[in-house]
Amino acid sequence: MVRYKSLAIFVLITLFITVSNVWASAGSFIKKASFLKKDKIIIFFAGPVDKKIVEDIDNYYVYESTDPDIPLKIKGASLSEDGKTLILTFTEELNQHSPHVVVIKKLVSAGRNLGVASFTVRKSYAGFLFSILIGAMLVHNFVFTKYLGLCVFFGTSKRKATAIGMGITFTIVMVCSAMISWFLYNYVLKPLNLQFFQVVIFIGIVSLIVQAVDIILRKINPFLFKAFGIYLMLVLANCVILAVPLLIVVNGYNAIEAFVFSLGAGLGYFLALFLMSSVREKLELANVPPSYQGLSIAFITAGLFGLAFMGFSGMSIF
Amino acid sequence: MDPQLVKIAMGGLAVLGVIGIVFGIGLALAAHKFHVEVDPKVEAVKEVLAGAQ
Amino acid sequence: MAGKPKSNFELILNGLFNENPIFRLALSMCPAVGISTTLMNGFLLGLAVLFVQVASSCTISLLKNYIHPKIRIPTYTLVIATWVTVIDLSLSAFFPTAYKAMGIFIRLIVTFSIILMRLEVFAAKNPLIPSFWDGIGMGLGFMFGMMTLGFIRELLGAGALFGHQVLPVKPLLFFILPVAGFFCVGFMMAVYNYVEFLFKKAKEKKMRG
Repeated sequence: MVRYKSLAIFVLITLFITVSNVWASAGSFIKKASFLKKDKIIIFFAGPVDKKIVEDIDNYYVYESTDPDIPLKIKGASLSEDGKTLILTFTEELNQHSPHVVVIKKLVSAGRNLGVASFTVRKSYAGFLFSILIGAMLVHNFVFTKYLGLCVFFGTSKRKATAIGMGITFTIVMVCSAMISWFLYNYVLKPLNLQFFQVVIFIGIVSLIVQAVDIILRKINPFLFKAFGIYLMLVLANCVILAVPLLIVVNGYNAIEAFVFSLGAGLGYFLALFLMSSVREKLELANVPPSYQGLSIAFITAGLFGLAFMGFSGMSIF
Repeated sequence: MDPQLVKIAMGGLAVLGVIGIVFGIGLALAAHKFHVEVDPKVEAVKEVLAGAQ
Repeated sequence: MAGKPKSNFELILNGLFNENPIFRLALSMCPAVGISTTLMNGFLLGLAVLFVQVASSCTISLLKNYIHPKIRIPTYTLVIATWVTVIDLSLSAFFPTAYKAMGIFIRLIVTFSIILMRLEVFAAKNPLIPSFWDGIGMGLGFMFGMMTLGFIRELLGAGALFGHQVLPVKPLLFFILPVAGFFCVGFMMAVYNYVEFLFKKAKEKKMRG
């Protein structure tokens, strides 16, 4: 039962970080600034500001924090009635994943010149991470919407106990191997222009981890080995274990994002296994036509699950 | 042969070799440290039973 | 692997029907569901798997005496990964459009359990020539399965074959959806089971009559 407890604590911590994140803002007069829709930034002031100066678009210099030399073009600036809220509209969509720096050259409030104000607008990073996690778990669930890892999926989803064992083993190996793969890819393969080796290296790392866990677990905790040992080799024959490092490379995630993504993939697989095994335990009691018995009906069930999971498509959080 | 390609191939050989050796030694040490005595009789019985998976 | 050794022809037939990787052994289902939407995709992936299977079967059966049994699985995976990299780079050079459509599936051939299983069960215990034919049989069986699925799904879903319109209507648009792969494989398995059932019945009748 300890495992479930630690899992629950982890989920709680993730939720807490997400909920308690605060918008970063600078400048004492600027209370809050955040992105609005796709091409707007909204700024809240502590008091009413001078409309004429603030609505002049030459008064602003906005850039992505990664390239300060490229100013972003502003289409218009509009102040609200009470003079406390300003909306900047840009000519192009903003890349909201990177922080933006806004410089207001002159700010006048009630006849008092406040001088230059500069602050950073960023989307909450915890929210972004959370959306990666949920994305990998539900929206792009590897089993039901990406159709990967099916052989092992159908092999181990007959019983709930098997499904849980496989899910836990898989998640652990997944996270470890994705992190090592990420490190080797970014610090060894990329500098040496050896990207074409990625498949060999990634699968090599997975088999290495499987072997290492096999050896160590056998000695340290024979009881755990008896429970999870048989799934270790199955991990190796699972497409997801290779697909995750490859997708991390394609999406260009950094270390934290890679960790969250692999964790999401592992948990998503766990979830899929658990759902499927619950249904299949019930299916055994059902009256199925003889030629559909066994895997055939399992596939059709998985198809129905797939249809259900299509409902998540297009969902975006934060 | 294009010298650029030869260079990349050499780099690849070196990198894979180093990674292989490092991890290989690591695994070997782990296997040595965590060695478990398995009764040879168990292996023998398993060998005989291995027919149907 | 008891019994007398099979002839080359039997090995191929075995891969195509008795132990068809997709419908009978139920291995390597991911591509069967994910990208068998058109006949062309099925054909190309089948080709890639055929190549990897034959090449790695031969490699392993040549090297089998030098591989320590304790680390045989990692070694097999690395051999497969090498051949997959070869076919991956070749396909991206010669068939760029189809390669793009298949996404990362070509690279995922490494983890298709059918290849690993054939190496473990067959190539590691048999000499070069039977391993070669077994590889051909399994590869063809996989290709056959993929192309059957691709044929059904493209014909029913888009009314086309190899991208050419052959039917005036699109009978069942549902089948072009990726999810339909699950249903399609399920139905095909049922058909295989049913045919086997019929054969058994016919045999029993013969025995009696």
